[in-house]
Amino acid sequence: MHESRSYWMTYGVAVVSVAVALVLSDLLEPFLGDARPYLAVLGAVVVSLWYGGWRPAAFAAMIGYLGTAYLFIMPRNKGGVPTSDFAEELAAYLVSCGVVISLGELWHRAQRRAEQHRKSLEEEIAERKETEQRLIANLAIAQILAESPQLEDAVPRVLQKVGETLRWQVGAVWIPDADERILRCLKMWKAFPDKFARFEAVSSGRTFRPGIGLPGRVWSTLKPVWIPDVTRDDNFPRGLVASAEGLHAGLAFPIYGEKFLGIMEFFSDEIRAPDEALLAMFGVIGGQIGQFIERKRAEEALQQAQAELKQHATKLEQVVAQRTARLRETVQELEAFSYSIAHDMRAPLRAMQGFAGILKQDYGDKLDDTAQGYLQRLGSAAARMDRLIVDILNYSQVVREELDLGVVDTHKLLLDIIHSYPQFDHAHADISIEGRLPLVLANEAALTQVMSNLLGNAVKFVTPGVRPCVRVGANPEVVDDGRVELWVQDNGIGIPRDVQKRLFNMFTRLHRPGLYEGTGIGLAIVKKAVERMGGSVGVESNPGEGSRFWVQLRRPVQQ
Amino acid sequence: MKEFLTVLIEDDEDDVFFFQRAMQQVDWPGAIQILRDGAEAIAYLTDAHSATDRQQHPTPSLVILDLNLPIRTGLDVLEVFRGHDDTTPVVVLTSSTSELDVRDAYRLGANCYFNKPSHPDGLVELLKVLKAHWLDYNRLA
Repeated sequence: MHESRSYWMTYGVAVVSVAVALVLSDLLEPFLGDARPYLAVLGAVVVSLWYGGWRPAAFAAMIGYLGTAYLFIMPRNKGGVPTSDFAEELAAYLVSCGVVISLGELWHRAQRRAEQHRKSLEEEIAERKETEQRLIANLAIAQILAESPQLEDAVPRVLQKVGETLRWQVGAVWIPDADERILRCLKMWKAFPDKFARFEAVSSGRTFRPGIGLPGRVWSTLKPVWIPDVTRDDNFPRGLVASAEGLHAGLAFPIYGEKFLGIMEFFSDEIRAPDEALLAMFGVIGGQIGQFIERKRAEEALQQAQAELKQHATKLEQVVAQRTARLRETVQELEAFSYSIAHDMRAPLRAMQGFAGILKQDYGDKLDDTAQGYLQRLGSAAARMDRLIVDILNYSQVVREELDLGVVDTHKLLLDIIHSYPQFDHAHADISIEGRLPLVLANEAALTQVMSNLLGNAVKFVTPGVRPCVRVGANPEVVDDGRVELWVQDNGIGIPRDVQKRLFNMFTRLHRPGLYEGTGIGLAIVKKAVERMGGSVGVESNPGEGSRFWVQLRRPVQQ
Repeated sequence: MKEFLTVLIEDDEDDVFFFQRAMQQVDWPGAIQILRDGAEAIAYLTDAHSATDRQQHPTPSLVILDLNLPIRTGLDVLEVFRGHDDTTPVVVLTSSTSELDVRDAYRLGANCYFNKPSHPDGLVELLKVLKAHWLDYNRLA
């Protein structure tokens, strides 16, 4: 209060108060006598003290004393020395003044301190309130960014939240176009739907080059800009319409991540002085939004890439499935074809054999030995071809048919084979089983074919004149990954090492026709059948030392 | 009692010849009707069952059926025939060794299933067995 009054005024008030007090004293002297000549002056001191502080009050006390002394005391003691009364009165006056001035000054100081305290409190509260608002805005934006799945969802909500929390009435987002030459308005927000329509229309209809208008300025400097009143700004093309609609303060800040992405601007209907703290906060918010946008774009790109990859994989799968189906169809057709060819070939063959037989039966006695010999050869050729066809049919059957696997007792299976085929009879060969043969996981029909083919080879390929001696057994140890091994050991002619590799191929024959009859399909059937039962087959042999064929098959799961 | 009628359904001329020859050799009794494709067989067998044509197409006593036939397959013939007649025995005599054919034939009502012997002597042996079984010992319905 005192600080606002001029220095001279306070002293002027002091002089005037003293003057008034002296006049009053003079006027009241007849009633008061000279008993209390300083009483009125003391009042002037109090007035000066109230109005101007202790310095004017002291000044008033001094001139008041001089005035009193000159006007009232001097005339009383003309020419004489001061009386003791005078000294007492002076002392009393001085003491009174001192006390009054001290009390007043103390009161003043307390008053001033209280005032200061109140002010600083108010300031602090206002500041806290603002900080709180900013924190709320900041938090809300972070939340929006975290929740929004898409950029399109986030931008309008950020505009609204900033505007509502920090009391701006209009907000807009500007983004550069594809070739980054101009800024275009992406989105606008208004606190009141029915206000600022013209400003909205003008904004969404126009573009800004770098450096032009509020968005352009932020774009070229990449720093927040605050305009206290856009209607008085030199570089604000929308100034006229802003003025017409009552918009004043404007604020804009850049949105940036790795690179510049756009700007966000806000307008208020009042004039607002720049707020550095708020500007700094918007700088941070711009960075947050920018990071959000870039993250979303990266996510979208990733999703798109993943979708493309998935689509590609699906397409590939379809192609594979289609081709597999076509291939399977072709294979089936081929198998059916070869089966029916082999089948149909047997009919004329049977006719050839049949007529050769009939010829021999009905006209045998009219044919000489040469003709008989030709008939014989005709018959045996047809028989050979028939065997070949039967083998091919067996092979294609092994390839074609589903082999359901079950538990097969190989011991029983071998005994059955030995007893049911005439060529394994004791009259022709010695076949022995060593020990108890194990249970295996196999298809019984296919395994019968496999073992009879192996036994058939074992008794067939012996040096002429030698009695076949075949031993069948099982490896007592379980071979790798839970398989068991059966073996067939013969005393035959053996197989040279260099042909062992192609021994199981189709049509592999190692002998001239005539010596050992065969179609070259038997071991191919063995291999195919064993493999289709999940096993493997092989041979160990040396010429002249016999052969040992082995078959590995899966063991049944232990109960 | 009517004459024993054997219906042979077989498209292969050679097989028909071997069959007739073997029948002579085993003294197969009665008449033989030969049908050479599936459609003809179906027509004959269904007509045979209707009363009006009984004179022209007597009911067969035994049917010997090949499976691999032109126009309609032997299995088709079997299926249609069994729709009309479930007592006359049907002997399947075919070159097919397919397990599937064997199963289907029995499922559709065949009484037995033989593979064609590759030698005429084998056919004679087979016909002897068939004659003994179906004509000498077996009682027909």
